Formats: sequence, C-alpha cells, structure tokens
Amino acid sequence: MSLLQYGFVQNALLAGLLLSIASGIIGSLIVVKRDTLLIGGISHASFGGLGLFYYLGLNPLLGAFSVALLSGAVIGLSSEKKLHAHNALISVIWAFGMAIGIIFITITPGFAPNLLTYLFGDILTVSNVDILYIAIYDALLLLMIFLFFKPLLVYLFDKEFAALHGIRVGLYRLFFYLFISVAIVMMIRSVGIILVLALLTIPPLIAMPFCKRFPCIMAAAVVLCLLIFVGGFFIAYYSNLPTGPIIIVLGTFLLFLSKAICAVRKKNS
Amino acid sequence: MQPLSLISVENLNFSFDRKHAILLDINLHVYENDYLVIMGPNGGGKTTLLKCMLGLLKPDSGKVRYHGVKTGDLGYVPQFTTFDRQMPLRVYDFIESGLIGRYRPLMNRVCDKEHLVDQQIARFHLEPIAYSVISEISGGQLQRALLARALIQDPKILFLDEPTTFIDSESRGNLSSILFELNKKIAIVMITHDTSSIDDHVKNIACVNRNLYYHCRDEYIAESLEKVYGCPIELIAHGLPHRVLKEHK
Repeated sequence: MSLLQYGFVQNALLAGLLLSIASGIIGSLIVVKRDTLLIGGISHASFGGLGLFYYLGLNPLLGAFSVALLSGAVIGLSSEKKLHAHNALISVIWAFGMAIGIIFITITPGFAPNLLTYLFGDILTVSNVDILYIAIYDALLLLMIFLFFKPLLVYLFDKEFAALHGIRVGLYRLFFYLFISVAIVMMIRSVGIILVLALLTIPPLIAMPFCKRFPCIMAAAVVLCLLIFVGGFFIAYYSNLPTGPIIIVLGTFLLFLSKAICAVRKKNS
Repeated sequence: MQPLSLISVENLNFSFDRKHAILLDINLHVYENDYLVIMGPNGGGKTTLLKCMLGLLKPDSGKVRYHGVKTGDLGYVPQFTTFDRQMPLRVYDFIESGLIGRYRPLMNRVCDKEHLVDQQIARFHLEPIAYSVISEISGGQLQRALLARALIQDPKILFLDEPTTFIDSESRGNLSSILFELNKKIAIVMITHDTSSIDDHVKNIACVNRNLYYHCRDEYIAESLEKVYGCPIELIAHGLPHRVLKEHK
C-alpha cells in the first residue's frame, strides 16, 4: 500500500495507536466512574484558553492545555460529596470556557482559519513533537496504572472504605482529574473539542457488557479505539471526508452494532 | 472488674454546618468482646457517630481514642448505598480489596493473598458465585461478601451499618448466627433502626437521637424507647425473648 509510505500517514497512524492507549484507559475509568459529563466540560472549557492564547498570538494548544489543567485541578479539589454540585460545577466551567473563547476569537483581528481544526480535529496535522508528547503521557499513565491500579479501583468503587484503609482519597481524586484533563487536550488535536467526548466513551461502552473485570474493559477499549481510529482514517481518506467526524460515526455505528449483539445474546439465553 | 475499653468516645460534638448539632456531647465505650448495638430513628446521627468512631468524619469537638487498636484493626460493613454496585468487579476481587491497607506499590504480593481470599469464600459459602460480578448477586450474597471483605484483614472490631436493610429474613437469621460466632473473638458494633435485629446475643445498646442513652447488659427491665423515638413504642414479638430498656433520663 503506497499510502503508508507518506510521512503524515505514518504519523497519523502512530498517533492513533498512542492515543488509543490513553483513550482506552482514561475512557474506561471515566465511564465506570459515570463521570462522562466531565469530558465535555474540560474539553469545552479548554476552548477559553485556546481563544485567549490565539488573541495573544501564542500557541493556542498551549492555552487549551493550561486551561484544561486548571479546570481539572478545580474539579479535582472541589468536594465530591454531592453529585449535583459536581455536575453543576462542570456545566459552569463548560459554558464559561466556551464563552471566553468565543469572545477572544471575536476581538482578534482577522479571520480565524484554524478554528475548525480545533473544534473537529485533524489527525493528519499531527507532528512528530505531538507524538513524542503523547508517548510520554502514555508511559506515565501506564506506570501509574501499574503501580496504583488496586488502590485506584478501591477509590473508584468505595471511597469510604478506601479512606478507612489509609488511601489518600483527595490525592487520588486530584491526580485522576489531572490525568483526564491532559488526555482530553491530547485528543483535541485528532478529533477536536466537540468530538472528544465520543472517542473517550464509545470504546469502553462497547466493551463493558462483554467484560467482567476492569483490566479486561481497559484492554478491550484500547483495541476498539485503535480499530475505530484506523478504520475511520482509511474510510475518511478514500471518501475524501474529514477524519474526526468519520471516526466518531464509525464508533457510534460499532456501539449500536454491539448493543444489537447484546440484545440478541440476551434473547437467546 | 471493668472490661477493657478498645474505643472511647469522649464529649463528642458533631454538626455538618457548625449550627445544627447532629451529635451532642456523646460519651461511649466499645469494650473488648463487646456486642454493641447503636439504634435510634432515621436522621438521629447513628451513621455519623459510626463514621466519627472510624475516623472518617472529624468531630467539631471531643475525642475518639483507640486503645491498643489501629485503623487497620477496624472492619467496616457499610450500607449498600455507599458504594457503586454497578462496578465491573467480581466477588473474588471484591473480597481481595479488603487487603488494600496492606498494598504497597512494587511489592503488591501480599503473602498468601489467594489463600486468605479462598478462606473467606469458604467461610461464607460464596464458592458458586466467586467469579460472578457483584451487580448480579443477591442482597444476602452481597452482604456476605461485604462481611468477607471486612474480615479478611482480621479486624479486632467489626462495624456494621444497617446490615439487615436489603436482605431477606433467612439471610437475617444467618447474619445473626455469623455475628454470634464472630463475637466470641472480636467486638461488634452494629447500627440499626430495626429493633427486630436485636437478638439475645447483643450485650449493650446505645440509643442515639442527637444525645446518647446507654443501656448495659445488666440493666434491669424498665420503660421504653419512648424518649428517643419521641412517641410511645409498641413491642410486637412472636414469643421470642425480648427486653425492655429503662427510660432515658
């Protein structure tokens, strides 16, 4: 296949592989914690930083990164006791970030040509440096999971029991949200602010009914995410359509397919 | 001889907002081999008191002192509503998570971990469902799994919060005999608002409704729980032995 000889294609596929590792693991954690609103909140909030840095003439992604980390820290340090307060905070951060972003982009003179890239992503523009960052993140994430998976699981499952056994629940919560925030910003480059929610949630949602154990869900989500990435990429390439949306449409299609399989299995059993 | 106190609660006050007291000047001891039941109406502060005793909540004033016990010696069976039952967790892994206090990164091989888990599974007859997901098992089975998780680390005191709420009467009977057996070796502190779960094995009773009224085993039969419930309580019993506690003064 001559397509694979192109550097940007190799980059896109390598980025897809590395992003799948991050997305499968982080996505599974978020879906199991039932905190999917958080992804939308942080990704949209990061638009505020994007707009500000764009206005200042700095790298917009760095702005998105800073604001995502800040939002993650604010959510991570807030009290977890009441779910409605948690969700309300996320909604406010979501809308405020978007509003700030739109204001700064409006007052920036001239046309904002790259805006669509950030909203819908373009995996073909991923650079070598981006790939290096994603690789470093993956290594760090895998190391943390390897060292702290069991306490993390207890933290996610039963916070009081975790606290009783000396697990520093507040620290786990903060790190949990910081890791999520960074993952979200990395995804923005490939699928964009609006679609990142789907990329993180669809693979674990497909995997969950077929897995009894958490590590199984994470592994399956990584593989599914890669499948969606690569499949979406080639479909987009040959149909001359944007990659981000095609990746999401393919993911949603697979999700419905898996639900149909589940329904048939249930009927037969 | 005064029995040995394992936990003492001294002049404890608690409120969530520093205005409306949930617990007022509570004094309480948990003794060695105690079987203490904390009862009272919903919203009376039972669970709050338990969480203060476990160190999960910090009181506004007053102290909770441990005598010869560490937090690792406290076993806890929470209410079903405090954790996420939809988590993808098998009964086996769930019980194993009781050892989390001993987990150290890079040295995660707790000696004899499998053996300890298997022991608990056998003890509570959970073999048929050991590899089922916790969302698929019955209330009685989940209650036994919770007990197994709490007991795997050999606690010196076992705390149970409303353990009879979501289980059927057969499981209640089983629970009662399990607790009786356990009480031969360790102290038990159980919260309930259900007077029928207080059986003959219970040694001491504390009634909590903001204030605490303590009834020790030797107390002579007297008046009722009227004050703490705020209305006269009628006892209905099918020929079972029952006790009437003296009036709170």
